[in-house]
Amino acid sequence: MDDLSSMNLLRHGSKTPDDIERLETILDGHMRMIQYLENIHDVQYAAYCNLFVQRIEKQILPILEEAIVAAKIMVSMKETLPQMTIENLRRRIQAGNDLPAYNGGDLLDV
Amino acid sequence: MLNETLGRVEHQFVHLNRLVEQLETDLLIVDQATEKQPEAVLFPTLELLRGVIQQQTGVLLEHKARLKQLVAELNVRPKGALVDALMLYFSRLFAATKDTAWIEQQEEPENYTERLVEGLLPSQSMRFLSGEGQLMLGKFTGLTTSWPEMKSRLEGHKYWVSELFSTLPSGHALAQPLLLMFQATERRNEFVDDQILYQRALLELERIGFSLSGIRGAERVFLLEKLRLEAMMVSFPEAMMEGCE
Repeated sequence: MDDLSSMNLLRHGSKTPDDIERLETILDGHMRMIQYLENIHDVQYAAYCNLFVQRIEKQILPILEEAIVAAKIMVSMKETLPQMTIENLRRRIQAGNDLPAYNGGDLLDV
Repeated sequence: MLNETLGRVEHQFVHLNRLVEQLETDLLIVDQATEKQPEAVLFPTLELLRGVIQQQTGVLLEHKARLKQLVAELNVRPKGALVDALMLYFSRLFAATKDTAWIEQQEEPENYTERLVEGLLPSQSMRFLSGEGQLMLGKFTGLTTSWPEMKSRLEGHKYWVSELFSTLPSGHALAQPLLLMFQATERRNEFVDDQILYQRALLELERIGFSLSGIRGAERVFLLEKLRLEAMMVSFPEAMMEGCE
């Protein structure tokens, strides 16, 4: 699928339920990563782990949380929202989708 | 017959003037809400429309005055030169009146072309103004206090303007100003539509926000979107009494 058709799908909102699933998977992966990093108590790595956790919590999680909320609003709306609001919500969803994908942190459980 | 026709046309011009007054009032209320100066083309358009109505009414009044003169002359000097001149003056008007009366008796009067005579209104315009036009006037009484009410008034204005426009033959002096007024009304209608949409969207966001409460990030998203919407919303202007500025 090229970029244009992907954008059209997003524009018409048909991707939104998929977006929720994908974004929640990415969020879940990051949460598992935080747990994993918090369980590393080795003095040699603790400072780095703490830094990574802080970065995920401050720079990634808020974007994902807001993207999920935005996608849920798009799915729940019964009345037409103004174009401005729709654009803002789409931008939030896109920001979440633009983050690197995580496969639910499966590798961390091994 | 001519006297009766002129009387009817004069009456319909009064209705048209009242409709234009109502339209102007409503458009200015919307302009007041936008907190900007009314767009530059509104007043010239209104002046143009009023000017055409005034000019046509002026010619109509001249017809009435000359008719009175003719009746008086016929009593005093029925064979005088002035009677001939006045009869000549009325020849086209009289022929048009007779034509229109004949057309109105036909099964599909809209299929016939009337003579365009200054100071008269086409029969279809007369029919509209004396029927639906008067009913529309009734709808514009009372104060408007909300955007949805204003929306229905503007829809009403758009209706009468476009219906009256459709009764005019091409090139009629009223056609162009009516078209411009329709466009001015449409632009304000879009603003009012937006205001209604913002109000509904705010309620919708509150409804969805309630169902998503507790989800992380929800508060941030809803708060920001609500603030953005509220920034776009304009409260309906309070009615201003004359002389209380």
